[in-house]
Amino acid sequence: MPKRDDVKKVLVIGSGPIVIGQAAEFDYAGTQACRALREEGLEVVLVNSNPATIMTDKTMADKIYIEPLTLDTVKRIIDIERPDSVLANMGGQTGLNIGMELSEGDFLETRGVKLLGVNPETIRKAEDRQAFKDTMLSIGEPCIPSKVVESVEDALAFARTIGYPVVVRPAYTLGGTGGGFVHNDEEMHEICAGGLRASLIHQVLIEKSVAGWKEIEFEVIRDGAGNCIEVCSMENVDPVGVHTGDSIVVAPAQTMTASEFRMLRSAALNIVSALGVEGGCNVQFALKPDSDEYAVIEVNPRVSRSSALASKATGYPIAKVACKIAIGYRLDEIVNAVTGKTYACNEPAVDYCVLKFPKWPFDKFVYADRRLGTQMKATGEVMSIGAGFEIAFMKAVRSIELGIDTPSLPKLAKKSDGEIREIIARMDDERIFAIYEAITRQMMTADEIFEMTRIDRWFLSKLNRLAAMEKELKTAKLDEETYLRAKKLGFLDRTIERLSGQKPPVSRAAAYKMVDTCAAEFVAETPYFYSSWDEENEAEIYRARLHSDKKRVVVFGSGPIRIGQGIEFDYCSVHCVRTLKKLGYEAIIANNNPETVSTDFDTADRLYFDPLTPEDVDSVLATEQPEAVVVQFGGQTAIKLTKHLVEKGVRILGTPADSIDAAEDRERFDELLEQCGIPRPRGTTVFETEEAVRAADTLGYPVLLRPSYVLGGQNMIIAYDENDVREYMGIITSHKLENPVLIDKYLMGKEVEVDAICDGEDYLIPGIMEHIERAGVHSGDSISVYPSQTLSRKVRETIIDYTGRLAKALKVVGLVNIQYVVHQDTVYVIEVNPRSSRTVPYISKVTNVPMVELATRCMLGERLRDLGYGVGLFPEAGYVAVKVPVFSFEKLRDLDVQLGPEMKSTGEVLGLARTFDDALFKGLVAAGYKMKKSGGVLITVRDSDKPEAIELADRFVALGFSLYATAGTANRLNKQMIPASAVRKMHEEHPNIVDLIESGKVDYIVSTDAHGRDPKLASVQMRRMAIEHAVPVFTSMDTANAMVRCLALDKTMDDVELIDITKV
Amino acid sequence: MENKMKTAYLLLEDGTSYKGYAMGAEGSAVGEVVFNTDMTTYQDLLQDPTYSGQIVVQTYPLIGNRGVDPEAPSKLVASGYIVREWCVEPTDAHEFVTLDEYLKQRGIVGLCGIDTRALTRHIRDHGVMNGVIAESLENKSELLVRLEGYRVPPAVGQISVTAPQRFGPETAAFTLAVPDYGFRRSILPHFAEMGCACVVMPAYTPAAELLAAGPDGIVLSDGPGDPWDNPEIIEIIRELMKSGKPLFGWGLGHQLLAVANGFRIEKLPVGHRGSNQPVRHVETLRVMTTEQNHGYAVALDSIDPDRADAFLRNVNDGTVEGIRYKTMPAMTVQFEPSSGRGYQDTAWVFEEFAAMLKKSRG
Repeated sequence: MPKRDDVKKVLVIGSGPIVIGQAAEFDYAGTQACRALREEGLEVVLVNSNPATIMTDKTMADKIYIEPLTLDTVKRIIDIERPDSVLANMGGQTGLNIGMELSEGDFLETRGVKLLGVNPETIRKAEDRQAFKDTMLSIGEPCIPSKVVESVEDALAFARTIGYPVVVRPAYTLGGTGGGFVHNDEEMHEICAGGLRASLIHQVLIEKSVAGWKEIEFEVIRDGAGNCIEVCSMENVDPVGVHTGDSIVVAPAQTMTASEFRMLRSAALNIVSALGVEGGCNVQFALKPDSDEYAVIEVNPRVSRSSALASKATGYPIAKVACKIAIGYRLDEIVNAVTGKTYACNEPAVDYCVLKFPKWPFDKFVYADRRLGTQMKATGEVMSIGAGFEIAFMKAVRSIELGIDTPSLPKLAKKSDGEIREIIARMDDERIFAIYEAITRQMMTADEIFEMTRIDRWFLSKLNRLAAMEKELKTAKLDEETYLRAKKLGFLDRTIERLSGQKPPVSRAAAYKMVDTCAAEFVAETPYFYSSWDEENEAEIYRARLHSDKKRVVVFGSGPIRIGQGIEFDYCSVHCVRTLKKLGYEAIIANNNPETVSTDFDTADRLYFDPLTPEDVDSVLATEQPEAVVVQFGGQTAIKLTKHLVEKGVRILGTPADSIDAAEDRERFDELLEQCGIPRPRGTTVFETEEAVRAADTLGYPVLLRPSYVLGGQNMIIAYDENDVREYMGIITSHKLENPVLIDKYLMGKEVEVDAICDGEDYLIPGIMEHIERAGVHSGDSISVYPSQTLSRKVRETIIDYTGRLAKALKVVGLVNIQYVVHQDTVYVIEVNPRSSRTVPYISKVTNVPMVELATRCMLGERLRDLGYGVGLFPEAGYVAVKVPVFSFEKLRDLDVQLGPEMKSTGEVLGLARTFDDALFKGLVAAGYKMKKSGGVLITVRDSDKPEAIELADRFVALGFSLYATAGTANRLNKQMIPASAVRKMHEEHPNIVDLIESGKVDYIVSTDAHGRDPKLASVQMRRMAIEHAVPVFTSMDTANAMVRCLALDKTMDDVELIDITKV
Repeated sequence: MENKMKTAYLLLEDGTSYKGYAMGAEGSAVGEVVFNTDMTTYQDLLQDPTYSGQIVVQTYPLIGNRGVDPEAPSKLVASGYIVREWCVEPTDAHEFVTLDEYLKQRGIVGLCGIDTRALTRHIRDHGVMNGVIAESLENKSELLVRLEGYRVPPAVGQISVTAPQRFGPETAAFTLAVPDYGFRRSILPHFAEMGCACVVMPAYTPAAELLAAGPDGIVLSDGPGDPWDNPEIIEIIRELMKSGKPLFGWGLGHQLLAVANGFRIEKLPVGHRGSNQPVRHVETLRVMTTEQNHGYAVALDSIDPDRADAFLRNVNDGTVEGIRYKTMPAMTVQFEPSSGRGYQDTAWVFEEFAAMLKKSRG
């Protein structure tokens, strides 16, 4: 069945901003989809609100709309573009939901538009709990006893019949939002109510808990002719109970017998066939250990995080194949691009072990609830590949950027046996390390650990083997044989030396093996590589076979996605690779993130899927012998390698390594600014508390405190008084302090951000961005506006001038990001990052300046003057672009939503329009804010914000909103003749603020508070409660003002022009 | 694990050698070295007579994670077994034994700790070849001479039943005669499901004797080795063809019927061994995932279109995977239709044969 001839123009729906549960994997899928469609000569129209993605790049589609992903917007785009088809199974749950909504009524029919990749009946059968259960029943597949309910009362009644514990699963949500385990009636009230709210159709499933059973997943793909294969099996190391996104996952499944495997594989294929899925599908099972009893947990009839992982784990590009299926191809007609010989109907065979390890945000969000359950909390993940489980595990733990190179977590070493036991019983992000600690101490037997955790003994025995090796290294003589055994288990030379106190007797670089989809049965054409400690180096053989005389450049990627280092760095890495290829180089990527485009098998000429530590990188360099390497596009992960690479004498393209140090070292940076004659907020460095208190007194409050060498504002606070300084220093000095703490005068000014491309002499500023929120809110959490709207000509000229001076002084070649604060008309520099930044993708798209390409060309010696984009400030586009941050607060319990210097957002959207107001409006809509015309606003602000709050309140009232305020604020408002009802605080008698929020009368909350973070604080609890009730909370007066401004426009999305950015 | 194990080697007939550790039975083993890409079915593989005379390499590196059932029947199996890593602490330790113990019990010589991927690549690039697992390579030249002269010995009949055995329902709709060339019994229940009783008979049972029992159909079973090693059986099959009874065959049985019809057999460069071999039905275009374990195939160009159709073909290399005969009610398949991961893909084979039986009865 060849390609359908009734498909010529396809609208692809993306997944929108990155949130927990829906992340970079959909950029990977969407990018593959766009490429797969265009390969077939089809015209592609794309809609996605996320500007940081590769898929929204102008080269990816014929028409690109960076517009809010709402039903109305998508309908309008369909009416503008008149595609004949819509592809909705590439954009995660967001895309799927829009596809489902589109299919209702006769909208598509009347326009002759087909829905590709999604059969509404299939989706209904897979996602509607009752329909799913009925379908499973009809084909004899066991489900877990469960019932769909629409009220807490029904939930309680059913739970009593099947007995606790039960699981609450909301229907139609993102990544399990709102669900959870429930052990008693009391918990049911809370969690079931949350689940009902989170469900788009106000439905939850109450289900018998099968916690402790093995959790097994299959990725299945099926074509329109009914051919169906299993792409990959995966086993969660953590049994049922932990969301698969938060589980350590191994592929292929390791602890099933052949008959169990067959049983579940058959079940998976039968289910996918019964549902009539055409494309990729994920099926999750619970398998009772030591029995053949199993149950289907859930089915995701679309590409997903798991399908991205399965694709990277096997080399089988699920999204691409699913896309070809959607346009009519059969599996046996689609060539496997990795082998070039086999077809997509050939189930992959792997000859290695793959491990996925989640990256959680708890190193940043120290107060967030770390416990894991049905609500996913990880922001990203790493994948590692090894010939054995042990080496894969070792590679994973050193890839997740916790600063460890074995599973021994230093902070656990200090804990008592009892405390370790408690952590193991608790099921949080540190449990696996606590288990390793228990094994190392020999304080528990494998059986005891199994009884507590239900983690299969096979995994425990592997951890035991690592612990035994650590012990052997500590005690035995290090001979060559022991060394090699340790290497094969995944120990670094550095670790071996540290543990044994002996120099390794020999030292060698790793060899590389291929990921080729077929366990070497066929010769592969575009394989990728992972390190092993065997003799045969296939990467070297492969390279020799190519006979390429091109120069080679290795680009280091950015590792796992976490708060502060997101998909934008992958965007930059991919663009650098594309430019290198275009310029005739062989571009090589080294990265460890399975969700991304950079680790797609055909992005670079070669891909090394391995950790990014100095030693791992050394082996890549030994095999590739590159002309040079690139570190400035891989975020802090790649930048961190600089020192090591310099010591090794490796040529780093672009900005000299010393400049990176000069920008990060406080004293050197101060000197540099002095030389350039550029002011910065006064500040100093301190090491201990008393020193900090004195410094703060001298500078005058408020002050900004942060450790030097920071990433995404990690551990930054604004201190308003001495208590804040003491609390902060107390926390930070509890860790060993290697670098000093920086303490600066905090200037409450306007924040401005600039990205520039420099060639060492000249510089090009594509645009100046201005933040809506005053300094103090992390730039990643601020609404950012391009071009700047309120800066005077003089200020702009100063910024351009300073940027040039800094670029020159730092000898920047490539990209630099500079953050300024404008306070009382004086421009100060806050921060200089001589590398790519978060804003590069969107500014590139809006201004049409291919920033990464230009930067890469400069790094290779070309001059900006010759590149056709001029120098200095690039002429402003006729459009205004507003970047709005998106948070995942509802997924991280106990995390204060107050914005501050520590970054909290997980993603972003863009509003693009001809006027600032329209752009802001679009941005806020795209970020998910509901534009209410009337309703209630709750205002509770700190004293310093009260004057401004009066103005804000007045504007809300003018729009027809009713105001509620806590006593102090209400009093102030009433005195100004602004009607506001006073509300009792959380811990005062009912009815109070809790009842108000629960009543649904409040549509927006403005809450600013000097003292944040601690979840025990009433203000934090109130804000958490609002988040759980899906009420937006503005914690900066500036954001609230922006919102009011938009509401006052009295517009809907129908009133604003939709923009195809390829025409901008 | 490795620090307590003895060194051992694999030497290939082209002189390439791999150093690893001994496992399983002590001593040395000679065989044709072949690789299997399946990731979970080591237990089945270790019971499969079709690997007799061969040394099997598992491409998947972690084998025996659940242990091996010591009670599992196996009469004639692979002569050597190579894995990268065997599981020292299998999860089912209470009822199963480790792979190492199992191989010791069964007298199978094993080798572990080698770069199995490098070995697989070598075989892939140079074709299957003979090899020996040995504790030392001191007598390398002697070993090479031994390898040069080695040929997988004919084994059909060695493990055949000596007297007819009946499997399946007491009151069956159909009774099938199954000459036993050496096959895995796991297929029999699938015939039973179709309402068929199988009478498994000695491999060399003469056609007349076989037909005398009045079977409704005949099943030519899988078995080990080169089909040309079985001229007597081929003659018997030619007799059976004349009976007009519906014939089904798989694996070796499929190849033997082809030879009996004058079609040619070719040796594949590396063979198909694994459970992910994609097969396409030429007419329906349905694709199925099949388990295979063969080194020989029926040559496509030798099939006389007046006599038969190669209705099933391998998607990757186009080789013949199934034949439907025009001159008689017969259908054969190259793959193992009853097991492997793709059983639901190949179950139709049994249904189709059952339909042939019904039609034959009228």
